[in-house]
Amino acid sequence: MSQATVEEILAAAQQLPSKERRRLSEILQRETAHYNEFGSTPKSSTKAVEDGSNGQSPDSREAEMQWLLDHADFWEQHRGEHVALSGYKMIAVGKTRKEVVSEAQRQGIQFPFVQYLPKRESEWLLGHSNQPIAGP
Amino acid sequence: MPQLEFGHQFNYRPLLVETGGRKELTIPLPVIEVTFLHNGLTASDFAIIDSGSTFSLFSREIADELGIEILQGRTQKLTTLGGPILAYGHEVTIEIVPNFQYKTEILFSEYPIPRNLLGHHGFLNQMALALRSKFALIYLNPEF
Repeated sequence: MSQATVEEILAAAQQLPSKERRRLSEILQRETAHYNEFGSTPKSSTKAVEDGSNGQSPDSREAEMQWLLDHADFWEQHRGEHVALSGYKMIAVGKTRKEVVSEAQRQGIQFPFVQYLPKRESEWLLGHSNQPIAGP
Repeated sequence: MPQLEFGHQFNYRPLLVETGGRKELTIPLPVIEVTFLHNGLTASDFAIIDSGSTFSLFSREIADELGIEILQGRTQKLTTLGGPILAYGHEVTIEIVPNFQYKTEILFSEYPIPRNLLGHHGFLNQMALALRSKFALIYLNPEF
């Protein structure tokens, strides 16, 4: 079997949807990091990227997050609400997670990516490093 | 020196964040998808592993999706980096590694929060965990 050239592989990669290109990039970055340290390609970590880590969705949900980053106006208009996305597509927006998940499932999307859009920037740190406060 | 073996491996994932008015993706972080099972209902969401957190804390919206009346749970006041919050503890079944479920108390926040957290209670006290940030890999093994 003849081997593909780098140029042929690059041309094929450019035809991939953006989500698949990101996946390919993730795989190559991990392989490069592993090769730099150990001088060989990591079978296990590559498999984790390819098959989705023990049955998890292989999708890192970056397409959904990228949609939100690309639609800052939408984000500003819907602060305090929940948004459901699937790939680079907004499915539903509403006051509760339950509401947007139901709408996504009605559209046949069983596991949408759901993000709460905080009203204030400080909310991103709510919960982090939590410690109990004693007392009633 | 003791040696540990891990049966499960996960990739880091980036998260959304706002800092200084900018919306962006974080670098890949130790984030895992958690599935909840409660009274025949299921809900899944991502959670960041936070070894500095005493409790595993999820947004109240997950509890709502599972049909849990959060105010009926154990009340827990918390101090957090984003300010004090009130949360409610509920016993739920969770699945983090495939085909392995366990029952534990999870706190649900009184109001929605943008990130869920896996802390000591409910996660770190149930799992052997190793993080290899250089390779963006998480290794897990249930410890019961």
